[in-house]
Amino acid sequence: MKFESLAFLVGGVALVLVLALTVLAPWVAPYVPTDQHVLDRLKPPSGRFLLGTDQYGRDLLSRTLVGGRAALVLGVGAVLLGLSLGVPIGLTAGYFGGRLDDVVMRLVDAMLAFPALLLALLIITALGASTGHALLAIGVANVPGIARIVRSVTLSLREAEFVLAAGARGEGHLYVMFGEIFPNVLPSVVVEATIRIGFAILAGASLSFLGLGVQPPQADWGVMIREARQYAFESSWPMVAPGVALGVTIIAFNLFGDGLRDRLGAA
Amino acid sequence: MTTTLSRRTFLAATSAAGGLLVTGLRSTHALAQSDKHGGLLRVSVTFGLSTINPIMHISGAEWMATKWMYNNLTRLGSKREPIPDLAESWTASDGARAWTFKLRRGVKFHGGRELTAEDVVATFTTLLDAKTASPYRGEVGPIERVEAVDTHTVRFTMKSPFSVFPATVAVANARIVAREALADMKALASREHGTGPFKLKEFVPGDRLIVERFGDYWKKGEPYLDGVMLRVFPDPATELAAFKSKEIDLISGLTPELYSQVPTASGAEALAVPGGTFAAVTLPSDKPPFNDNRVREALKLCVDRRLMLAAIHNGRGEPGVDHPVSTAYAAYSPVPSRAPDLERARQLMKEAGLANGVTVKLFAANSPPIRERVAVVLKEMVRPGGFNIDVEVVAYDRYLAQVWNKGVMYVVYYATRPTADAILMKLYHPKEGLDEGRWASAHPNAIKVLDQAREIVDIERRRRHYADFLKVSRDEGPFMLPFFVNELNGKWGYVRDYRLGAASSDMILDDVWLSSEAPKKKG
Amino acid sequence: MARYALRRLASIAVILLLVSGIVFTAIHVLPGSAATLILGEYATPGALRTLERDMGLDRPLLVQYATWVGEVISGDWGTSLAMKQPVAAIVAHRLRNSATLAAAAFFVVVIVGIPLGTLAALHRGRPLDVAIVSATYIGISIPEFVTGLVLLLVLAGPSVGWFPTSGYEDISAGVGLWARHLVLPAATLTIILLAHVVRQTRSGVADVLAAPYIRTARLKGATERRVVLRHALRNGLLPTITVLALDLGYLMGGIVVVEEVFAYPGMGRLIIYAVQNRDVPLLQMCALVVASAYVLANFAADLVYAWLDPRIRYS
Repeated sequence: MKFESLAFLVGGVALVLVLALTVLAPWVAPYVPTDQHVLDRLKPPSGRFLLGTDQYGRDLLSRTLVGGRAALVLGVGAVLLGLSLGVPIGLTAGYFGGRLDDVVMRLVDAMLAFPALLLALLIITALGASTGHALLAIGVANVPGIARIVRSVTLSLREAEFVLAAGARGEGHLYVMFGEIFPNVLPSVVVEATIRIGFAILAGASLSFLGLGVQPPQADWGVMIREARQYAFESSWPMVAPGVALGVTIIAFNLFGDGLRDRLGAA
Repeated sequence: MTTTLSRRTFLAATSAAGGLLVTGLRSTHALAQSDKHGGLLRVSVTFGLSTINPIMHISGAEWMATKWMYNNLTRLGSKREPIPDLAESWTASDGARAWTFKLRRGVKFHGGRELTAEDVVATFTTLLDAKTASPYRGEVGPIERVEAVDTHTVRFTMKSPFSVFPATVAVANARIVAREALADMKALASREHGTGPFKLKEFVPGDRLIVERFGDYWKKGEPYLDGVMLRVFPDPATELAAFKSKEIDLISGLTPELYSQVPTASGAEALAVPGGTFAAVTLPSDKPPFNDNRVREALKLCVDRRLMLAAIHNGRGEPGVDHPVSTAYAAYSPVPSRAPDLERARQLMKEAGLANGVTVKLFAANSPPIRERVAVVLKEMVRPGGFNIDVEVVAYDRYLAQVWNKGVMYVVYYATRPTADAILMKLYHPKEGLDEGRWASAHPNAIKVLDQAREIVDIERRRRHYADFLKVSRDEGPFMLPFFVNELNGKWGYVRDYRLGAASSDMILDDVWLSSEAPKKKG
Repeated sequence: MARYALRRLASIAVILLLVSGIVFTAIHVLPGSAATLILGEYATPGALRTLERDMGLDRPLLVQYATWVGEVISGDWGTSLAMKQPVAAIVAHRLRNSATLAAAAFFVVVIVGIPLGTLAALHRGRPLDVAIVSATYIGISIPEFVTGLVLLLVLAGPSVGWFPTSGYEDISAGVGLWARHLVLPAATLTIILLAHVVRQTRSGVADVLAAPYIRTARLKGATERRVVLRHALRNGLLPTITVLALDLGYLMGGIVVVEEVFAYPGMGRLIIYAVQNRDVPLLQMCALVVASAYVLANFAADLVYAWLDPRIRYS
């Protein structure tokens, strides 16, 4: 379908742009993101400050560029964490089936039932609000969902010929799971992961917005919006810049992930 | 107030004999009075309102609420001097070692009973009882004993001379409660038993409080308002918008960002009064690097206080000189400030052996927001002086459990106190207060100054005595105190006779009234 | 079927017990206690101890938990440590608020989302579909707090002022006022949920429309309307039901960000308040209510699933 291809392309390009800008941010940014020009606080865009300044007179363009780092680290890191736990759990449950599957999935369901907000809140309150702990909380919250997807794909592959053949060859369980089944589960996992990164970034920004994630004075889109709220009536630029950046980044991940799903023909 | 009084006197003086005429005149008088009577005042705050137990409450919104429902022995006037409230008069004896208060007669509790000395005794006894665990147990002075001399006379015997006691008892946690109610502290969290101008009508913790006029208030003719509604708006922008659409009549605790937005609504006024509220940074003086006064001085010299005030509080405040006694205090005396001097700062650091700089960790609770703002701005300001500050913002609950009063470097925040004694003791004294800067043991003479000041009854002498301490605080003290913030309120013009004091939680509504321009809805 | 339902309910009970156990343990791992928060920066070690003893926080953990379970079974949810009021009343009030917001959003989403998604599926690949899908991308990708703040600034800001910015007014103040206060927060939620539901419906219905039995129905001469309503929707909606059920769980506890932006007194902010104040009884009830809403919604979704698709049989 033509639209899907276009979406995939747009998403891919946007993603590359976002990643490039984020990685190169320290060299591309016109100012040091923490430098305060107090006498020029809350100014709209001008020749000196292309996107304006925030409440301490820090350059918004520089901060928005650098702010992507925390967002991406959070998003990608959380999903990687979720994968590292969710994939083995799902594979095991789906492969062995029976009682093990029952028990594991009951536990997974229980985890899903645990209010995600509360989980994040407890983890973060216990360990302290920081980027790392927010990453942990979001990662853990992603485990049940990933486990479920991996499990259902594994279940459908369990009776496939190549699997049965491997068993007949005398291959051990671990090999069959990770050597035979996993490569076929991979496309679904990749698609799922890409889309989840988008949502993990969203969750991370939400946590930072609530004051539970990245902390000031670090530049991060969620934190910037949180701070900008107090000054919204004096200048809306401190809110607009990171808001647009967030939106574009998450859309890019979603577009790309959906396009990937269509290409790889995965579930 | 004076207008009404003279009206009454005038009418009384000119009323002819004859009941009809008097009645006629009285009803005219009543009509004139009712100009002021009526209406619901809607006040907003941005957080708090968990409990209305006056012995236990610790936040501004709650202090405000109990101010309307209760009275103290005294209240603070415009110069923060004690003026009569439930006590008509008071005398010191034995060199301020004993204080005797004469209570007003005919004061009624909302339940109907008349106030007696026993209620005062019971209130203070409960407040001072260790089993009550009142947060303010140590904040009402060194009381040894409180007893009723007769039905309307109370005597306080102090452990040591305490000259500022009449002002101290104006503090929010010394509201006088009916003695029978003190047995059930849990019930007091949501029910009131006071003598104040308003009775409790409705209380939803964290959301709203509604009080209604108490017809039998001891100030005859007051209050004018039918009632007051206090609402919590966690988001300042939402609060301002509600104010602009006249859902709120009075914003208490206006943020400096929104302060300039208030006058854009025609008919609205923004009020600013210098206060004693501040945020400061502790420089723990019992361990390196701040145990060396040169390092403390170096840090203080890096800070441009006016610039910090501009960046953090929109300039709405007064620069500070590293001591907590602002112009709002009766015992205030001016102490010359020192301009920022990076050269000298670097020189001092070199002398202290820190020419290569030093890294320190600064904790800031995330509430109120001014704490992290101070931390963020300070970090940049002191960098050229050789200080590498690692800011860690922590949630308030965590701050209380792990940072506060643990002898580390953090941002403190204090509201205006009734007396200079209260705030100085709290900050510096190792026994009467927290000694949050861990400084007292190395400066016993300075602490002695604070102890002596308590005994000085004459305000001028006391002021001079404190002046010495304030200078020491500036030069050697363990706090970098950059500024005091103004109390900021916003109100509509139809709210009359409202006076903003140096502590906005000390909100006196006895004689406030709404003019006819006030919106007629229930709110 | 009945046996299945009973087994599910039993496992729900187990899940809830697990949730409450975890919450209880977790909150006692956190630094500080309810007493710490009540005394604030006026605390002394003696006062802290006294208050904790007063609130029964010095008893062994197992005793505290067992006592709480016993009280709950007999219907007593306890008193909030921070607010000193019955927990049940506080939670009921906030739950009603959250439910109202959820219902308002849900209502719009079902009425608008399912037809939109079906439309998109029917016109797959054509401009209408493209427009709808693009809009949904934006809907799911922009964080709720950004959407909410934008709506707030644009529609409720001082310049336009169509809507009030305080997110909540009790219904006793008048239905009109109550409704007006609900519009912006509900709109924020609707935008996200709509995106989810439209996408799910679209893909579910599109998949079904491509199936052979649909072609058969068309060849047999069934009207397009019959094809869509009778056949496609019935099966195409299955993924939508799942999403709606998940969303209900999200709505009950996860919309804290919207509550924060609009100062809406719902369950999300109550949970945050309870954790921040170490208010064990309050937090327990909140956690259980939200978890119950989620598992019961899922259970209901499974039942509806079975009703819609006769091929599914639970044993």
